[in-house]
Amino acid sequence: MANLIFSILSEYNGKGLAKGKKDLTAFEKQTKQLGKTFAKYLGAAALVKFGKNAVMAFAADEKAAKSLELQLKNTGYAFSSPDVEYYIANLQKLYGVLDDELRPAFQTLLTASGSITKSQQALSTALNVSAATGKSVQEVSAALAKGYSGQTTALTRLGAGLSKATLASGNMDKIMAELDAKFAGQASARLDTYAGKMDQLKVATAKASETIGKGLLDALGKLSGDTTLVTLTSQIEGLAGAVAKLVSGIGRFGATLMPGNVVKVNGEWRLKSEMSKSNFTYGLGSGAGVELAKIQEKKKIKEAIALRTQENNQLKAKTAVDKLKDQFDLERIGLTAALNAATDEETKLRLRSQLAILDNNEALAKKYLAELDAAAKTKALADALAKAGLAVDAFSNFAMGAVQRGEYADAYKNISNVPTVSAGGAMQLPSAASSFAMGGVSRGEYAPVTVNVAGSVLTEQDLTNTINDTILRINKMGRGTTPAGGLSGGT
Amino acid sequence: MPVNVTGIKEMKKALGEVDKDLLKDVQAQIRVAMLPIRDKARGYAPQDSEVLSGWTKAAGITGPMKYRTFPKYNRSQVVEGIKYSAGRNKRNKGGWAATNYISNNSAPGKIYELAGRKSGPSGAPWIGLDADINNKEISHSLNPRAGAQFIAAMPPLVNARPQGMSGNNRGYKQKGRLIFRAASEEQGKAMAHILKALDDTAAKFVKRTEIRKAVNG
Repeated sequence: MANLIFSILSEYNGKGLAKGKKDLTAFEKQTKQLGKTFAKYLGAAALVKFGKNAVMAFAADEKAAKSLELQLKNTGYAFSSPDVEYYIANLQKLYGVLDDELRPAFQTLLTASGSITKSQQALSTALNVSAATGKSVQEVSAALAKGYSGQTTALTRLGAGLSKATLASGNMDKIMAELDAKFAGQASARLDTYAGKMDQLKVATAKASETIGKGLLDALGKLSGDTTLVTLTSQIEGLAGAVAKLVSGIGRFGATLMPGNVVKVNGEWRLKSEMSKSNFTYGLGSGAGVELAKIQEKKKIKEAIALRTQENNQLKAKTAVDKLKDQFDLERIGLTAALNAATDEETKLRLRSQLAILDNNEALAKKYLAELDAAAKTKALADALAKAGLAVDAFSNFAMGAVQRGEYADAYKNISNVPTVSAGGAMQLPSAASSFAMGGVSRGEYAPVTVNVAGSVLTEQDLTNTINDTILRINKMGRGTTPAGGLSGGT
Repeated sequence: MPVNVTGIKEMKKALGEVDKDLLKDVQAQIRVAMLPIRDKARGYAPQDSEVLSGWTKAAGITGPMKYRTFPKYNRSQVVEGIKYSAGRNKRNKGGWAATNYISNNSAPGKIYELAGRKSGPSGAPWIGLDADINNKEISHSLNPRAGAQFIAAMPPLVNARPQGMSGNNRGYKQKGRLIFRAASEEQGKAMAHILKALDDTAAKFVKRTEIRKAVNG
């Protein structure tokens, strides 16, 4: 059973399909050419004539069948149509009565009785009565149909010897029972008579005529040489069968030419369509079936591998069309142009990443992704440092600006001993730092800080002596005290 | 009503390379949208007592057989057979493949889903007991009306294809009683959810990679 799915998303890939279609078209052309060759060798005129006659016979037969089918449909028995056809075909074969007669007879009875079962019984009775009385099946059927409608006059004219009491009752069950009692087995018995044999021949001829045409049949009758009816009948049917086999054989040969239509089973090539379809998967009864199933499975696996390989190859192969498409790919052109115009490395990296995605190049995409990541981190660090620098500058400017504008004083007006601005614009530090500090301490803003200096502290005299000693030592070593690039005085 | 999207595979691959979380997000969102359809479809599977009694009985034939008997109905089997798959199925002859789909896999489930979809309410034609056993287009029952009776005992088929939708698939292939019925009722919501998920993902993708910004300068 087919896969049964409901899907929200689907995708399409028509590459493989287009190629397959192309191949099929080419193959179709080849087979048409082959068919023309066959027609030429078999004789075009003969085939046309044969075809015309056969079609005419078939059309007449089909017309009758269609009419009955419609009748069945109208009476609510459409589903029984194939069954009735089968029944009529069997009657024709069994009793040597043409379906051309049986169909209208059955149709008449069906119209009158409205029941398939009753129609079948009545037709069987009609065949027996017809065989016994010499009346045609259609005549008997028409009489029986009238009987179902309540008119028994036609039944009296059949010469069947029905009793007046039965006819007067108008009860068709009784009438049919009496007819059956009188004529049962007549139709079968008639087949042993000459007339019966003739009718059988007629049926065989008509059947063949529907297949191969009347002209061919007449020719066979003249060429036969054997005048016995049995031989002629079998020859006619044999020829029809042979022609049918020939036609079927041509079709079969054509089918074997189709790729993938044949399979090798036990060393013998067979058409797939002629192999049994239902007993491979679900438990076979014999060992041969198991072997067959194994072969099928192997073949399916092989086909699946071949298809997968084909698909992979198609994916890998970059065709000329694809390359051309790349050249006209607007997105690619835009990206390439942007890449050429880009000056900084980061933009270039991003553009290359975009191109890698477009090319579906996994390795390259990963590489660019890593580089992008590194560049982004570096940029983030540089940005952070620049921002820090800017913040320091900004604060410095703010502080100086505020002091110059006197805002500092406003902002800290509640705080004593803060720097102020003099009339010239210069910053004026608090006059008494100690009082500033003490003011802060007294307000609890600052805690007093004590600084302890470890080691010795030089006096002013000690410092002067140390400098003099050092200069003397330098002069003694012959080195100058003038810094490099400075102007020295004369000696 | 599938949305036909080209390059799903490529999109997934690109998403996977750039940001694996995004791919997982998309799949999770689609799953959230599809699971109600699956669950509803499972709910539409009738109990064993609700189908024709003969369908729940095993075939009376034992020993090796040359053909498969008609599968008997078993609700739990049907429910287990209705699944959601996030992958992609095999590409069909027309070149199409479905992704993120709900499937009805069990034999009785498929029969319940589809009975009468192709043959109509009268079932497959019955042409007698001598019919070719390999012909699956006809009824092989002893009862000529078996097909019609079987179909009449089931609820009607529901078409999951929205009314008035144009396209080639105007036939009966979207009709059913389980997954297609559930889909006809839930697919509007599911579709909206999935489209939103895809849209959000696209926005996230662009935001995270900033490729668009780089291209536009």
